[in-house]
Amino acid sequence: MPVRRLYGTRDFVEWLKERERASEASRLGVETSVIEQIDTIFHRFIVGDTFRNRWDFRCIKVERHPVWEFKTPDMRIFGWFPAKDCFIAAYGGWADYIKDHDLYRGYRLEIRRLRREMSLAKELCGEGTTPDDVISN
Amino acid sequence: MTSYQIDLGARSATVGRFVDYVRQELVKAFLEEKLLSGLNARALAEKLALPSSAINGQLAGTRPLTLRAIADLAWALDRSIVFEVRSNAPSEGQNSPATGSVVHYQGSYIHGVAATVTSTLPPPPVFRVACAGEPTKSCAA
Repeated sequence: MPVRRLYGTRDFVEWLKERERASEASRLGVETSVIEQIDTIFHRFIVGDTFRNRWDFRCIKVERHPVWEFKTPDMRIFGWFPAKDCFIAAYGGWADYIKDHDLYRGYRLEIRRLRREMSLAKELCGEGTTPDDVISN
Repeated sequence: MTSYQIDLGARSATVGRFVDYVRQELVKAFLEEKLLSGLNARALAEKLALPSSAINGQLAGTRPLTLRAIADLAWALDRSIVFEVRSNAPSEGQNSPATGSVVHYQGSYIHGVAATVTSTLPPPPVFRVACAGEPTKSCAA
């Protein structure tokens, strides 16, 4: 079973706390609330559950130091893999809003800006663009 | 080390994880059939006389999974469903199950930037390496 690690920026944790406080129902009318969906995807990641490309996560754009997203029915969580099985969550948002306003490029650029401001060493920005590069299943 | 736990409670954690587990089982069966027989969402939709978008939505979790939808999908995939509600009585020596994702904070990368990192795992062990004649170094595994 792979050992996986999940990290988040302080802003991401604040966003997460807000989701918990708000206790929002699904906008899609599915059975689970937003915080239940987030808890489930994080739980599945850290316990080493199978993560399926495009179903559970995907690379936003094939590039050097790519940005990845975790997917739940209602939410998208953006971040990167500084190492295999290690994800840093940086931003989260409603899937419908992100898709309607085509915000993928914006989140990619924000994460690149964040990493620059963090003066993060290049090797901690992650290189892999294929699912096998970043997650052991 | 500060930690943050998504405190959604045992009830919500159970519901969220069960609903997702059911969906994952259906996706797994669908992908297995796709590999074995080339089945796709359109063929599944035709078999069930439903639009492809309904099948895609059910498998992706963006549409509710009713008991009927679960049974329909299992039938169309030529699979049987095993369902059991087991006793949850704890046995001696059993660990208590976690009821929420635990998040641990670890110091900021840089002052003034919201960059404190967190982890759902306990902090990694710290190894102290002290070679003779060298200053003590430490690194996280």
